[in-house]
Amino acid sequence: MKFSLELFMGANWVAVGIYVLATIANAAGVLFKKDRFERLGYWCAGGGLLLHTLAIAYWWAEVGHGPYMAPNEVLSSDAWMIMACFLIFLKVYPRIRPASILAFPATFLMLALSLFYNPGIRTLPATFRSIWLVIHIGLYKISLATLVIGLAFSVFYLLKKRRDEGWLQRLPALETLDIYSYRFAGFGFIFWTIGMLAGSIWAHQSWGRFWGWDPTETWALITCLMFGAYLHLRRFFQWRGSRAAWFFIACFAISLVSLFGMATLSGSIHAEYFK
Amino acid sequence: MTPNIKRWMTARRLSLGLIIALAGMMYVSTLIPQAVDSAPDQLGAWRRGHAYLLWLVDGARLHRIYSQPWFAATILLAATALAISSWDQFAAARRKLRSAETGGGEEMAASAAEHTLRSAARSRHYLCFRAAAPGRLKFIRNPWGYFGNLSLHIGMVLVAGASLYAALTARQGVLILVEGEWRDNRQAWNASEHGILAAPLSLPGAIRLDKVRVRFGAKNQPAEVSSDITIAEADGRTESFTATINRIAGYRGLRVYHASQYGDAFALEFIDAQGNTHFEKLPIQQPLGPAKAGYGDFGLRWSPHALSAKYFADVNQRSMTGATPLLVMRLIDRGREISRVSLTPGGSALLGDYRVRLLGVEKWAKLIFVDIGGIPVIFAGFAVIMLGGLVHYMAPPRELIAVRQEDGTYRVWWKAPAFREFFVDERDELTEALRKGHP
Repeated sequence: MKFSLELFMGANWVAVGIYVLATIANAAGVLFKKDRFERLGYWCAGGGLLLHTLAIAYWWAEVGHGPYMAPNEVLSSDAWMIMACFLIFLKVYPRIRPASILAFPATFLMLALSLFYNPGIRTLPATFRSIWLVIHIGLYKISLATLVIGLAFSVFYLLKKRRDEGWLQRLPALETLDIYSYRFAGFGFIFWTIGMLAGSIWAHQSWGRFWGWDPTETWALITCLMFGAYLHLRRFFQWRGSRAAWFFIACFAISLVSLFGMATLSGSIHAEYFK
Repeated sequence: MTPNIKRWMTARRLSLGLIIALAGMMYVSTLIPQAVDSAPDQLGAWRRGHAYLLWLVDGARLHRIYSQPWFAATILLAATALAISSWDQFAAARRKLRSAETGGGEEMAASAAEHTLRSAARSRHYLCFRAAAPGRLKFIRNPWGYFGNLSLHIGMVLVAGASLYAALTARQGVLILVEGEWRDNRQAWNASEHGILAAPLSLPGAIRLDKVRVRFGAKNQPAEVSSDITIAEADGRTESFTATINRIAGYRGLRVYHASQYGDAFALEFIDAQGNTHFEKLPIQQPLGPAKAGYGDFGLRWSPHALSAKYFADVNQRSMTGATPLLVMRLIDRGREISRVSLTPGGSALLGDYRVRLLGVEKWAKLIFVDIGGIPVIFAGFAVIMLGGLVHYMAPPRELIAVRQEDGTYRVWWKAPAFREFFVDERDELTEALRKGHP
């Protein structure tokens, strides 16, 4: 079958549209406590994810490598992972439902942004042909998705603490929001650390070094240490509440610097995919 | 170890301080260019722009943060503190497993029969443990969760200790060779580095690059790149082996890597205005596709000008394996192009004042010889961290503690030492099962 760029772009735009519908229905459901709208939101999100998956698979088959070599591929697969992880975590922990208020718009915004980048086909260098690279990248994407969910709870905590009225009253209790952001920070930290492990195995296998103090590597380690400090403060110094929430938000911002800032600003070898 | 030192080494403030100190050092390394990953001209430009900071940067050797003794000492201190703390974590985990204290628990049944309690616990995967106090029963779901922190700490000790060992003792050398080229073991590497406790690495013998093979897959993407190498040792023995990208070769304890740098080397003859002949071989990185060029910049010892070159694998830009590559060279004078020429093998043209002829094209490759220890321990440490994290965050323990009453029934408490809010449904189900008297 001949590849059609129009079909690929069209499928992605339709997926964006479905995600937008999911966001509107879901927000209406959560904010106005309308279960029917909320359920509709999840059905739309599932449908959007299915179409998005097909679009990624179609592109993958055409370019011959996973969605991690160009800005459009990176953003699209990040968006996919946020939605997929959210829906999976929702099955296991149904109480995370309110996090959809952040996870759904993050998904459609990232996917829409990806469509403004040139969808050129990138050649995969020989050193990138390693299963460890796929694991390395996949784990960072899962980590980002879990951190987005944790971020939602930190933001909700701060909003609810400031003004507990209207739709904020329908969110779980402050203590619950606090614990949820703590646990998802733990998930994010673990996936981030395993991602670093997979990256260092790949680097060791490909370049003869397991660590090179490349700018992205350094920032990834700083992020890991900062989340380590966050978890340490919570566990041993009884940090909780607003200051823990603010600290989480700061750590999340550092993780964005590692994942996206360094890729665009530095001469890192990890920047290749964002050039 | 005296109790005071132990208390100081395991103080929560010290561990927090070390985390922040390490993150701070790394942050400084992103502000001040590091010699390990910066080109000399980048370093020079930064120093010219920050002359007012040089007293501090040079005094504390901040261009080489990661090879400073104080950086190594900080990691060593962190690893030692973690090792001591690991022992405390182990003791704490054992204590938690055996403790049958009800303090901090939530009472869920005032009077439950033993068989009901046991079957309700079993049906929710709570395992029965021997309680430290008589007349008490203890059930724990995910008891291994108590050892998650211990595993996290041991993993971090292994990673920090082994990374430090690797950084201090590792050594490596880089060779850039053209097909057929011999490199004598007395000649220097193209680049080399070694840890402060290691001697520089010597070439294991005279080395020749026999052949570079590039296999292309779909859409002209390189599927496999490998190089055949022959090493001749001083006693006359020779050994041949193949190094491939992503497949490490070994030679007498050394690991031999095929780097991602490879391509075509162009043999050129330059004749200047005075009739002097100069020969150059320009190794240029393999292009990424038939319509894309590989690039390289070169200084010429015998010319005041620099040379900027690019090439296409096929003059017709249709194939990566075409027999006729196209070389384009630009002569650069103080950043400005003064002449340009395009050549195919055998071709000749004028480039500025020079008559240049493309004599031939051969493959080249970059090989890295590494002598490093401690890597398996680093990766094992990461695996232990991973296990600890998964156990701690994915499977936190929950407890049922039951105290026998005079009438033979049990009063039952439920405890979730971490992430209690995630398990309130489980608590409610257990409460309901105990209330109804069946699981």
